[in-house]
Amino acid sequence: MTMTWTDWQAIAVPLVLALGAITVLLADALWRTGSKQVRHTVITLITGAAILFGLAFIAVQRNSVKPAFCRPAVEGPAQCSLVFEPLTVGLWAVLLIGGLGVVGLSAYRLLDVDIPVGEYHFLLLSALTGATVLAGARDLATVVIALEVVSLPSFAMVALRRDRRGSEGALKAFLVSVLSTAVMLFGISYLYGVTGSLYLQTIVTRLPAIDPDLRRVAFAAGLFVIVGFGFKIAAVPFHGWLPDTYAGAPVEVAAFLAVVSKSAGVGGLLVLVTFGVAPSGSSLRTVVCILAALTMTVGNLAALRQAEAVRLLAWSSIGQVGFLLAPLAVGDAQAAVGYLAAYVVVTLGAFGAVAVVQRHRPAGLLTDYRGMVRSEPGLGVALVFFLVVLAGLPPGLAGLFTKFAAFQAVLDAHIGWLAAVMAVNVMIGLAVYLRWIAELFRLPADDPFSVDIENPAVAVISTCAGAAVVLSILPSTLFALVT
Amino acid sequence: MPLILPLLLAVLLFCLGVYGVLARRNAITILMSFELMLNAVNLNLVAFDAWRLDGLATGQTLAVFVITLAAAEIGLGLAIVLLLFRGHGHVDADTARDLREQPELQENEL
Repeated sequence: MTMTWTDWQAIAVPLVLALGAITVLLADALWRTGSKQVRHTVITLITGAAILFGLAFIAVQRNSVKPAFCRPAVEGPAQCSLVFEPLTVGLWAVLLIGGLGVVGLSAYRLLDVDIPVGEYHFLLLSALTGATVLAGARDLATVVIALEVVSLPSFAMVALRRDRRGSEGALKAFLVSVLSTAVMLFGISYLYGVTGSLYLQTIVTRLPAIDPDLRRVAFAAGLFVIVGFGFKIAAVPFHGWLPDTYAGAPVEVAAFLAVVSKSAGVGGLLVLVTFGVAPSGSSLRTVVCILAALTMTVGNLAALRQAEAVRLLAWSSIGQVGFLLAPLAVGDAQAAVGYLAAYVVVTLGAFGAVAVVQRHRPAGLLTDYRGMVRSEPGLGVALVFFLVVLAGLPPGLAGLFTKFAAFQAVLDAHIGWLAAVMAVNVMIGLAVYLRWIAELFRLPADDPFSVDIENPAVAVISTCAGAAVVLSILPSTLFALVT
Repeated sequence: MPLILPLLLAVLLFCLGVYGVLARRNAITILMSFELMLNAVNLNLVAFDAWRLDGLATGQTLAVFVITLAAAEIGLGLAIVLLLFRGHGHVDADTARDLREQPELQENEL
């Protein structure tokens, strides 16, 4: 098989990210002279350049459709493994912006001193490579390999500080993830058995026509695949690993897990649900609806009880994934990607603020934030805005509109009970975030939090805050990501 | 050979793997159980491939990928287990509990 020019164009972004990863690793290994600051800055710049190339590419090519790695089928259109199309553009934009934000949060003096710089950026770019491939994948073999390329570097990043907490967090995430991969592959092997193909497009055409005896096998196989993804994106009841892993990881890595890994998993599930395994009207979509309802309820209720900032963000990210699964279950890609984009921007900002506070107050309790709006007005107000968007309250209109779009999608599909569960969860979510916001406004008992914030952190947090404000004024840009 | 025989063997291997993951506490044994599960997948893929004969050898190709994937997973897994051993002095997946949520903190907070 020869590669065509379209193939090269479709994989240009993952290819540049992978080359960037190797460059970073080699630069760090071979270049031992020079100060730590210069080396760290150069590595940050190389990483940022690779990601910026990806953003520039999708900005130029956003309206084109490039099916790549195709082979002509016996009947019907050609079968393709990787497709660059508007949905891919939207997911890549979310993933790359998230990655760029994490790189900003890992700049010199922000990254934990125990973390080796070259390896960290290498793993980050490797995971981004997998994430971008996953968003464009259209056959099950590519989906599985890409998903592993996202997951394995993430666990290495969790353990990269080489301490007790990191190794425990990484072990938990690793065991759950490998189990989920095995379960998913088992399902894929049966899907291959009943349909005779791994191309999503072929599976979706052959599934309705299979032997009625095999229909139950196909359902179980699809269920296995969805359960495997449920572990990866920490949907309830497969969420047990997530809070411990976030708490054990360095804050930058927790931000990476919450932003890039999670978006990649949601993107992969979106591709699978809309293009192949669960066509419209399939009972597998009901399974995803039930997962969504359970995930948002359990995530939000558990978040109510948390006393640590990172754990609260971890549980709230479980709740947010529940909201994401709702439009996903009815196959509304536009609402799902819009929600994901708003979530990524404000989560990055919130983790940035938590990283600043945690560097000076390692306990990371919510009470450490007491009175921050007065003592540290810039950071305090930005954090309040991020939390307001996450809760979906005005003036955080970006959160409000994306939640509304998710509602609309569910109501259009006539799933009233899920809409009711979502409405209840919006209320619980308000209580979760208002508790933290109240701490920020409360009068401090002892000396309030006040420090010189490092410049890169200021840049990232204010960019996120600016983006959140712009998205709140112009929420249509969120939904324009997928046209 | 009828298709049912390799499929039954694969189900048996997979269940054995699931049992190992759920019942064993030693992280190394859990990793070995994962290998069993992934090999059950390989057996399935190769059996379906021989049954389908689709001319692309899709199942066999994916099986080769799964073998590579298993090697990568076990490599990283052993590294993490080694790190756990250096920090905790054991490789018991259940007793590594530094990170569990502390209820007394939550009661003070509420």
